[in-house]
Amino acid sequence: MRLNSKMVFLAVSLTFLVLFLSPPTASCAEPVSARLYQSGGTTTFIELTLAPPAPPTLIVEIKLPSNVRVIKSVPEFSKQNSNTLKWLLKNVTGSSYKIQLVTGSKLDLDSSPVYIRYRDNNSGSIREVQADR
Amino acid sequence: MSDEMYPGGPVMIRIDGAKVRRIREQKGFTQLYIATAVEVTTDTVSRWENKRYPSIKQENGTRLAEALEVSLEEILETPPEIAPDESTPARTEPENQTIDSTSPPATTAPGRRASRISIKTALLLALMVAPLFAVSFYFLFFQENPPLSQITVSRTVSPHFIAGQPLPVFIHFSGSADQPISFILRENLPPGTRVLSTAPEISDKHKKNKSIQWLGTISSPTLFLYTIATPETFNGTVLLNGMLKINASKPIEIDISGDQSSTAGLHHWADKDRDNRISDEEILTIYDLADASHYAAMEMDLLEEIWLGDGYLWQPDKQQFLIRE
Repeated sequence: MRLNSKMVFLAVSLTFLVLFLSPPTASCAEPVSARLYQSGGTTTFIELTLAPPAPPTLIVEIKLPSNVRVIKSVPEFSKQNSNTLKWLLKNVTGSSYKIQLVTGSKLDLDSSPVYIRYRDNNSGSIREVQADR
Repeated sequence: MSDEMYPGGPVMIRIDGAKVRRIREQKGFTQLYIATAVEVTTDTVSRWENKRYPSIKQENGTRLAEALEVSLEEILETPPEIAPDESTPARTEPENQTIDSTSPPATTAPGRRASRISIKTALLLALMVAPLFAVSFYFLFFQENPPLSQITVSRTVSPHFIAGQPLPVFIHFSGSADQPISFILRENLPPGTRVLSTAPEISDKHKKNKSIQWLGTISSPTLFLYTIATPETFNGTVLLNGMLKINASKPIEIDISGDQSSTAGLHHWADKDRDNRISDEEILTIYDLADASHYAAMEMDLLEEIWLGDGYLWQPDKQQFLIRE
């Protein structure tokens, strides 16, 4: 019984040691993340956070509830298809990027999913991340 | 005299090495660059400049002038019209130098001293020096240009295009070198096609009927792009091939790998899955293929317009796209 306790302690210690010493994997760090938040009644922001190697071209898409009318956006959206807005952001540099969206009524963030699509520099595949709220 | 003709041999011309060196240095070209362009070794260029080979083949002279971007006459040796005075060095100097360089060097090691060195010491020295020679030999013959071995050149072209419309061809140079490498990148053009644009831009003299070529130095990954167009009535497949020539310590030729053909059809070259739409994935892929300096050549405005729409249709009779809103 005492021997088993020692072995368990040893195994747990070794596991922690291995985890501590192992290098962080690339999958931990997503080069693009986003956050959706509101400032004031009808103004909503989509804030992108970029970490190297960040892609220079991104597509940001927001699906709006059907009753929401878009007043303006900065920068101006590239494409509107019914209640979906898309921005094609080119030559993006820096560590953050903000899109401002003014709507006719207060936006329900829970019913307005935001997706960011970009091409992974290493694999060449298209990645899609959803903005946090 | 600038021209010489040896019986049964090629036409030879006399060049002025000092002029060649001056022009080369003024234009910021390296001997390696010139050697690559003329397709000789850097040693040969050095000998030309140092007047150790004042007579060279006319063909090489013409290539040399072309590489230096001057006329042939500008690098030919001009015969002295007046006798050289004391302030100007004699024109026979190169010959004297050549003679001097071939004369035996003065001996400095007296034989007596050599005889004092015991055989054991000599053997010991030989044993110490041998590994150095072995290592040098290895690097000289087996590890030559280690960075060059990592160089690859590959072509990316859409498998389909619309006849008469621009078709971009991307050539990716990857790898790196410790110092800039002189290169010639040559692409053979399919018969009947015309070149619409090149990036980096190349001069007209490097655009020929059947090929285009870039000359320069390179040290890091670079994208070369050219757009071609076939006649509107073209109905078939264009075949592409080319090579990269590098003149390091020895010339290396690398065939351009990757895509080698594209077939005429009714779909935009960027519409990878031929669904008559430019999807997010397709436009992101194209934007990542090139930087802003290439967008005009790739007609990115039109591509974006198609992406913004709900689809497109190519109208051969009007030679334009119908974009659905």
